[in-house]
Amino acid sequence: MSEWLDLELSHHLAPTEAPPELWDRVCAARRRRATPHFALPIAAVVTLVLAGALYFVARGAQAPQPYRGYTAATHSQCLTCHTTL
Amino acid sequence: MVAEGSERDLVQACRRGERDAFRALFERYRNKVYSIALRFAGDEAAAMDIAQDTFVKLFSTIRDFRGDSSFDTWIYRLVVNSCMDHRRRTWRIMPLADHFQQTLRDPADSLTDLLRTERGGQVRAEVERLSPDLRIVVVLRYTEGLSYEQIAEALGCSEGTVASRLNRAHKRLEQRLSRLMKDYRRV
Repeated sequence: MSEWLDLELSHHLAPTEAPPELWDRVCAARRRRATPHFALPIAAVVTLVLAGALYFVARGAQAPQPYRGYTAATHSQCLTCHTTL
Repeated sequence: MVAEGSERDLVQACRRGERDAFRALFERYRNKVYSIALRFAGDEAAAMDIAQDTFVKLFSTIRDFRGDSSFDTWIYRLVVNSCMDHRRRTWRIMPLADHFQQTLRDPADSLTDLLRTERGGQVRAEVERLSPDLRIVVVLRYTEGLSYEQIAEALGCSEGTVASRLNRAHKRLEQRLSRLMKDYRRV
């Protein structure tokens, strides 16, 4: 290898000093990482429970279906269709 | 006080979760880690990201350090991995921007000649143009002054591979920086 290239590389790739704010960045990143890993599953469960509760509340709020009485003729028609009688 | 202690004491104290020990270890290695990151990535923002990532990994995995290799080697491996991870991420996100930067760095371009009159800038720009595999070998060799054996340990490859990569890198750099060589001969 050429001497000039060795000198150029040694000179221009020399070590440099790290900025002082690096420590703060590392600490901040560690704090973010330290956030409990179970936070996301808990949030998912809470969302599901809330969605379920809302669903049941909305379902319960619906007006009840009016009672429809069946006559004997209708009843026998149903039996014919749904059974082998 | 762990700050003045030996490296082994520092590592033990970090394993126990002592904040002072983390700080002392950081102070001991921050310039090494940042320098490698900067020479590899070529810009300060990316170097900060790589250095931050390296130290976060170091502090979260220091319990896994068994002492099979030297602590320096272990740190070099972490930095190398962070450099490669960063390279992969940015390559996926901004391949076009990267290509644009490469075009700007082309020494044949007269505009670039005007922009990059600084000699050091030219050398660093040409190192940045090397493929990541070649570039990391050059950085470990010239920024940290590591031996072939140490580089091989840090990269997890053979010394022969290190020698071959360094040789290829030198050839490419010689070709691309031939104009600098003429200046060197004139001086």
